[in-house]
Amino acid sequence: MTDRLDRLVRGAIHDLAANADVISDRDRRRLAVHATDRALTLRVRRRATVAAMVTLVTALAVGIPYGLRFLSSRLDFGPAVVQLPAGVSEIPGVPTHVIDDTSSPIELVDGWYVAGNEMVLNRETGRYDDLGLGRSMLSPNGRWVATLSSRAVRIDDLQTGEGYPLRGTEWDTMEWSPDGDRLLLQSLGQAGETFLHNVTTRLAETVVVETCEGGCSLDWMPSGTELATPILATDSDGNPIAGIQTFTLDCTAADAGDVQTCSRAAILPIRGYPAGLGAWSPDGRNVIVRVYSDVDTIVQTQIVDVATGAVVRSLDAGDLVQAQWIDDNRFLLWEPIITGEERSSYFRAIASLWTVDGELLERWVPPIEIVAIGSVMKYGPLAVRLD
Amino acid sequence: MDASVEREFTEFVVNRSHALLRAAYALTGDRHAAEDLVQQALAKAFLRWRRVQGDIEPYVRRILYHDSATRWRRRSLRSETSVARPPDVALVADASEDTHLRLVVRRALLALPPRQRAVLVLRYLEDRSIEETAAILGCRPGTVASQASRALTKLRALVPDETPSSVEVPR
Repeated sequence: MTDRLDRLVRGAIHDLAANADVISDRDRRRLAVHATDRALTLRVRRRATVAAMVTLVTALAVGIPYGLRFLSSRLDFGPAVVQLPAGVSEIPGVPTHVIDDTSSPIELVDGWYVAGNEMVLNRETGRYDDLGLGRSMLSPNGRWVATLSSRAVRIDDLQTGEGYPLRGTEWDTMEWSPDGDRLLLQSLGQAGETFLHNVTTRLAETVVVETCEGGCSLDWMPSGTELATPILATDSDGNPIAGIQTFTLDCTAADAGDVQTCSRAAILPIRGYPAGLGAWSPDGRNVIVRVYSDVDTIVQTQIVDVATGAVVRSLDAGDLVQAQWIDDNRFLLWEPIITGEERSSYFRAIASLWTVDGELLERWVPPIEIVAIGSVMKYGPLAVRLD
Repeated sequence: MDASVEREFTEFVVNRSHALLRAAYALTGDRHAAEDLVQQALAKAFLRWRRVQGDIEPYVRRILYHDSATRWRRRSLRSETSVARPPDVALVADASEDTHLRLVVRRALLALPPRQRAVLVLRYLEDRSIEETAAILGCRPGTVASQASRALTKLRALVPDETPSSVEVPR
C-alpha cells in the first residue's frame, strides 16, 4: 500500500472517530442507566428460549373451553403493505404483511395464528384479550397460572380460583412442561438449584443435575419427559456450545417422594440453542438452532441434523428467533427487531415463513401490543394452531 | 446485580464512554448507530461484570467490534444496495486534494462491509496487529489479512498515484 493511501485511510478513520460528540457527564450516566436496562432485557431474552413455546400455547389454553366459531371467518390481509415499520426492511420478492388490527386473530399460514403472551387469543370471541397477567405464565393446558414476583412463585388454579405460594429457594426462571402439569423452576445463583413442581399432585421434586455447577439453564424437551441444557465448552471451531446434554425425568423419587436425581440421557451433537420447543421438526430429523460466537452473541440461525449435528442450512435470520415447524418442510421464525427510534427501550417482532431449503417465503408484522408490553420484549407465542 | 457492581459500571461508563463512542462512530459513521452499538456492548459487559478478570475495557471493545462485524452486517444485507464501484463524486484537483480525497475515502469506508471496516478501524484507529485484530473479531489472522486486502483494494481505486493532476474517479 502506498504511503499516501495509508495516510488518507488513517486520516479518514480518525476524522470519523473525531465526529463522536463529547457527551456530558449527565449523558454518560444516562448511557450507563440505559445499558443496565438493556442488560436486563438481554437477560430476559436469553432465558426466554424454550419457555417461549410453552407460553406459546397460552392462546390454545385459553381457548380450550371455547369453540372454534371464528375460524370460519378467514382473514384477508390484502396486498403486501408498502410502508414498513421502523426496523423492518423490505426484501424484494418477499411479501410482507403489516397488520395493525388487533380485533381479529392474525393468521400466518395453514391454520397457524399469532398468539400473544400477555395479550392472548380468545377462541370464543376470536379476539385478543389482555389478561393482565403481568409476570405470570399460563400453563399450556389453560388451568394454572404461575406468577414469579420478587423471586417467589405463586400458583393459581383458574378452575377453582384457589391459589398457593411455593416454598423454597429464590427463583429466577420458570417454564411450564408441554402438558402443563409441571413447572420447572430454576435458581441461577451459585447454588444452581432446579426444582419441579407438580401442580396436579402438589409434589415437590428437587432435581439434582450433576453438570450444573454454578447454575445452568435447563429447558424442556418436546416430549416433556426430558430436560436439556447446552454444554458450555468451546469446541475446536471456537463454538461455545459443544452439544446438548439431555436428562431423563422418569427417575424414581429417592427420598419421601421429593428428591430426584436425574440421570444423563444423551449428548446431542448440536452446537447451538434450540429455538424453542417448536424448533424440533415433526419427523425428529431436524432442529432449528441459534449459533453463538460467544455466550452472548448470536451469529447465525441454522437447521441442524439432530442425529449428526451436521448443518443442513444456514438462514439469514435475525439475531434471535423462535421457531415453529408447520410440517417437515416448512417452518415459521419469530424474529425480534430492534427499532431505530426505540432502540434502547423495546423491540418489534416479525413472523416469517421459510422452507427447509432456506427460502424465505413470506413475512408478517403483527401489532406491537400483541408482542411487546412495556420495555421488555415478550417472547410470547410465535403461533398457535387452532384446528 | 449488586449495588457495588452498578457503581463500578457507572464509573466505567462515565470515564470510558467517549473513547468507546469514538470507535463506534468510526465503525458506523452515524451517531445513533454508534450510541446503540456502545450501549449494546456495555449491556453485554454488565451481565458478565464480575466474571471478567482484569481490565474490563478490552472486553467491552471486543464485544463492540464483534457486534459491529456481525449484527450490523446482517442488517446491512437487507437495507443497503451493493454497488460494484464507489459512488461518483465531483473532484477538484487543487492544493486541498488530500483533504478532498480524505472525504472521498471516508465515504468509501462507510460503504465497506462492516467486517472489512472493523478490520481497518482496528488497524488505523487502534493500531492493532493482525493477530490482535483476529483475536478481537474472533476469526483467523488469514481472514483479517484478506479482509484488509479487499478493503484496501477498493479504497486504492479512489486514490491515484502521487501526481495530483491524474486524479480521476472511477465510473
